[in-house]
Parts: sequence; C-alpha cells; structure tokens
Amino acid sequence: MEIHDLLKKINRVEAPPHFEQRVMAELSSRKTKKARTMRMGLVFAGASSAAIIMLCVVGLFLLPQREPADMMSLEKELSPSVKRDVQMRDTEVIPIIEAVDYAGEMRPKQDQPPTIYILEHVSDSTDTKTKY
Amino acid sequence: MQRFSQKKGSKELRMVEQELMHLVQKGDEEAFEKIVTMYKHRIVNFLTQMTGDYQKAVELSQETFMRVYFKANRYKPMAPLSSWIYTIASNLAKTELKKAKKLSTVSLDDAHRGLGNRVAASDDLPDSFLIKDLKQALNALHPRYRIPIILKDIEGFSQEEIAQILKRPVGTIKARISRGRDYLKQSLEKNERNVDVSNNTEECPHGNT
Repeated sequence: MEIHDLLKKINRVEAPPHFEQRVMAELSSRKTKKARTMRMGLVFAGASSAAIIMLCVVGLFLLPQREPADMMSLEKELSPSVKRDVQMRDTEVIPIIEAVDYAGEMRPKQDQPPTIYILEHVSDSTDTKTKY
Repeated sequence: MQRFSQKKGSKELRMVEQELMHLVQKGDEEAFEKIVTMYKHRIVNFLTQMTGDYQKAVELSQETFMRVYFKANRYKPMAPLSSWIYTIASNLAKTELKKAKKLSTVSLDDAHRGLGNRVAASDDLPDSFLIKDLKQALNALHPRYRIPIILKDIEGFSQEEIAQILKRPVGTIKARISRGRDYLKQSLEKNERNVDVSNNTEECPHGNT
C-alpha cells in the first residue's frame, strides 16, 4: 500500500464540544484587555501632553521676566564701587593721553642725497633772467 | 464540512468566505463565529497531526482563530481564506515545535530505532499497527517535510495551495512531499525488517539457526 493511502487512513480528530464558545469567550476577554491597554495608553499620552503644555505655560507666562525698568532697579542694588563706575561712565568724559615717539618715524639724513633748494624770485614785473 | 471547499462550488464558498471576512474586518463577531465553525475541525486535526498532542492542538487552534480576528485587516482576498488560516496555523505549529525542541533532537535514525522497539505478534501487521508506526514516523519527520505531507495527504490540499500556504515554490513543495513520503516508506520498511529480526531472535535466542 502506498504511503499516501496509508496517511489517508489516519484517524481525523475533531474540535472539542463548545469550541466556538471558548473561542468567543477568549475573544471578549482579549478585547477587554486590548481596550484597557489602549485606554491606558491614551491616558498616558494625554497626561504627558498636558504636562508638556503646563511646562510651556509656566515658562512663558508665569515666570517673572526682566523689564527695562527692572534693570534700572537692579543697578541701584549694585555694590558701591560698581555703582561709582556706572556713574562715572554716565557723567564724566575721561581724556585719553597717548604718548607718541615721532623720532622713530623720522628717517636719518645721511642715507639721502643732500637736497638743493632753488629759490626763484617770481615776479610779473621784472624781466631779469634766471641764471643756473 | 471538512472537504466542503473541494466538493461544493469552490467559487461560491470563496465568495461567502470573503463576505464573512469583510464583516470580520469590520468587527462582526457573528461572522467570525461562522468562520470558526467552518474551520475548527480541520484546524484542530491539522495541528494535532503537527504537534502530536491534542490538548496543545486545541490551544493552538484557539490562538489561530484569535489571530484571524485581530489580524483580519491583513487578509487579502486574492488568496482563499483556508490558505490564510492554514498559514497562521502552520506558523504557530512551527513556533511550538521549536519551543518544544522537537526540530533538532529527533533524527530519522532515532525514529527508526524507536520503531524497531515494538515487537509484533505476526509477520502480517494489522492496519492499526501500521498506522501507529506511520504516525510515529510522521512525528519524527522534520517539519519541513511533515507540513507539506499533512497538508497534501491528510488535509487534501493541492500542491499549488500548499505552495501558497507555505510561501514556497511549487517545485520545492513537490520535492518535499516526494522526499517525505520516501522517508516514511523507508521507516516503515526498516521497522518491518526489525520486527522480522526480533521474531527470529525470539525463536533462536542464541542465534543457532
């Protein structure tokens, strides 16, 4: 006898009675579990986003911010030395005296040929010729 | 009901199944219950042959149907519903077999040795003994060969349908079925030889024939 004929002779088994009811009961239990998990996820996501929004609101609107007027009052609260510096900065003009050594800027005479200056009398009235 | 899809108009059945699946995709529990009723015996039988354990097979069948319901949106109506359900069932069975470490521990030789331990009363084995041996040999067979053989010779699927279920080429399925049957044949023949030898040894315990 061929193997496939023998295999066909193997007794078939059937599902136990009330198998459908068991499956449906399992289905409803899993559905409940899934819904609970989903609800928990939604709650967690909602709580997280609410917390983030709260942090943003607190950071943007509720924390004290420094206005220009507040900065003035802040300066008043400074130590006396700093206060004096601030006052000096505002009132006095400090002259800047800078010492400059021009000697270093001058070239020595020996390095250059002597300069000949020709003085020429310029006059419109005379006709004296210029001799070189 | 078991061979319903092959005997009655398969097109009509397929349409009914697809309508039911469409309803299941919308969350209809009544349609789902109908699908369970249609397939419960086939799936329990298939998984029993796969695992060799009825209780385990019932548990796995329940899990199979749970997946059918919760993953209904993944079903594509191009393939018959039976292929899809059997794919889920065979995947679960494979996972279960891996868990039980049956995949690597039992070789074909071990199966032969196990079969050889049985002492038959006569040379002509009754069918029940033969079937029992065949079941043992089938359980010892690697799932690579066991699944296509069960689907073909016990569940009555065509090679094309098996290829669809196991997502393998038809040629591979043909080869596996043929090789699997050869293994089973060899096991049974070897077993018969062992029975003959043991009978002879019983007659002449000291080997003086």
